[in-house]
Amino acid sequence: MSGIREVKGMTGDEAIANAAKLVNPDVVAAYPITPQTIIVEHFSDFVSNGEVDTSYIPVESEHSAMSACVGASLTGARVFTASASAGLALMYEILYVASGLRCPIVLAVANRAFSAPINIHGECTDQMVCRDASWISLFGESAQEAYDETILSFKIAEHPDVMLPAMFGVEGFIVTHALERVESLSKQQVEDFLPESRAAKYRFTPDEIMSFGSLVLQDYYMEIKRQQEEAMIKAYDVTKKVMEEFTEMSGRKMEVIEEYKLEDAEYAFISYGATAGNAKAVVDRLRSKGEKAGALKIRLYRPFPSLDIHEALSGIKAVSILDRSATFGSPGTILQSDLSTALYGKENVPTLHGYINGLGGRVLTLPEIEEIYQKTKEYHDVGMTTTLDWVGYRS
Amino acid sequence: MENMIDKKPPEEFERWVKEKWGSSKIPEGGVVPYHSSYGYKTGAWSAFKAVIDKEKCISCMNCFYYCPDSAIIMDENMKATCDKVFCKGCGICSKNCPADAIEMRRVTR
Amino acid sequence: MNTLAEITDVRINGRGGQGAVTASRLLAEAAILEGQYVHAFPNFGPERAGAPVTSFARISPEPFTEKTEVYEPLIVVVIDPSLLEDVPVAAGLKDGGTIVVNYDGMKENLVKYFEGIQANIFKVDGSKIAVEEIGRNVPNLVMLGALVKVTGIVKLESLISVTLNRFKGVLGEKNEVAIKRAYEEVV
Repeated sequence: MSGIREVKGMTGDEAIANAAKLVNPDVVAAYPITPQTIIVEHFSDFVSNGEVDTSYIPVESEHSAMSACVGASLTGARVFTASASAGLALMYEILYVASGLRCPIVLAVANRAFSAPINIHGECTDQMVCRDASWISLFGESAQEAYDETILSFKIAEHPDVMLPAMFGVEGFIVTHALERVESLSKQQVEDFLPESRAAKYRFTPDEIMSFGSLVLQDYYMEIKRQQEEAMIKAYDVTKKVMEEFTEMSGRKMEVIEEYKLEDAEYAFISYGATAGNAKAVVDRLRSKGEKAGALKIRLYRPFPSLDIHEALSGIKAVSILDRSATFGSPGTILQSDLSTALYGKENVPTLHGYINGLGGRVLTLPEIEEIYQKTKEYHDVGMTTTLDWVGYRS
Repeated sequence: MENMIDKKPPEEFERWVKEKWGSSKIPEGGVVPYHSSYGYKTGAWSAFKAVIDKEKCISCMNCFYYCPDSAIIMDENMKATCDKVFCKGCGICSKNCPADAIEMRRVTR
Repeated sequence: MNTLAEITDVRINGRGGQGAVTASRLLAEAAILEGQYVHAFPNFGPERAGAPVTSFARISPEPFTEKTEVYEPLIVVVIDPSLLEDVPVAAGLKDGGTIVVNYDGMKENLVKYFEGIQANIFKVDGSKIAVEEIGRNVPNLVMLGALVKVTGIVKLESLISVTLNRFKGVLGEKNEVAIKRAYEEVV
């Protein structure tokens, strides 16, 4: 029954599992890791209840999980899996295999900090460090976005111009285990939205024999990699188009970036994930004090939406980049490095001030974000074009 | 030298190699069509070749399954024959022949 | 998107195994049923049954995007009376806030735990009600019954509705009776 919007309380993990249920993938091969466990637990309930037709493959590690996903995807199956932090790191080798073999696998990431020391809480480093693996990468702010991005990712990944795997992530515990209001879609809506046939050009079939994953020497490797880059370039427009279609179908606005009160803003926050939600709340507080604050939330991280960001930031004097990922010895935060390259030498760009925060699940509080705003203003006023700080820790 | 089947790679693959295709023409993901391996004459690598005594051969097909290059062919009498164009001389067939019908003969000086 | 949404923060203090997490979840679901917006989550750490746990529910009639911890709850629910000795249950409580404690003694005896705190203190013998109506000392939902009476954060009907949805059959009915009893008996 398309068009009827049902509202339920769901945690981020439950939202992802419920969205995956509507997608009804052919194969799910996953290994549990906190904070993703609820996704696969709920999904395996759906499998055993017969609510989905999925073949669920319990595997012995994340490396095996992604390997099983690649094998399944090469037969033309629609494949879904989930992981986090150490699990994502363990499957890292196969992430490259998946994208090299052009398997449109969808991976839900429950963003969690890396060990050592052991920490199970929300931090986006795990997904950030996969940005070079030729996967589409999206971040979500809430359980609703986790739900929506599950469905979106399949359509982007399986587009014939793209045919690359896609990962999307929400912070562990802060989003995955927190209950929020989620508007769900109907099965019919999702079936109508997603393409029926798997559009891959080459897949294992009994009628035709081919080889996948051959040894390739110096003379052909780079060409095959270039194919992936061309797919990524096309993925930018494909994502925008898919998000437009999703907006129309669901009534919820989905765009590669979200602009919040940026039109007349002078100083802006740039962030992704749950921190973006806090940034928006702080913008409101600052506005009520007369400050011209704005916020930009990044949903699509790879391919990097340089054009949209450049346009959104026109007129902004300085940006506070709230980055919940760890990088060491770097000229800027991970997001700052990408942003800096995207804006370098262009006209009318703001000064960039990176703030590494929230590592290990520590929450960057609203008063702390307000302090960051003031700090950025001071940096800008003394003429600093780029800075990097760690905030919210005790020295 | 015996070469029982005229093994040639598919025409599209030969063009691919000859014209040195780039990223826009290579199949997505570097998928190669069946029998592209026929373009690589691995027999040129070897110092030894398998020589099969058809009188001793019992048609068990061990060598057929074990050969890593698929260079053993069963002839019309179901006796094993070595395709010398592709035989790399590894000796696995000889080691696994229960009838001792295969001899690895040196072919280079 | 709303500016400066009015968010009511509820903290539930309990012990592992007593259903503190379920309580915050059901409270949030009741709020969603009424069209409110929520962010409800437990406090995660290495715990086992019996260890003090806290869970939270942030509820607002307007949509809100912030996702932080709860630092200054307006409402605190204490599911286990032994926590009064072990844990600063009223930590961070806003002035003029409300505490609802599962306690079987006289209300006056509670005052000593909350010295210097400007709060409205309520108590109900949740354990007794739970044992008598449900058969086990699991007073989490019972305490919610008391909570909705003294704060009106959600309607009683909404709470009953989500409880019956979560616990089917006889268990649901027993919980309903217990919740209603706490609603009446809280002082």
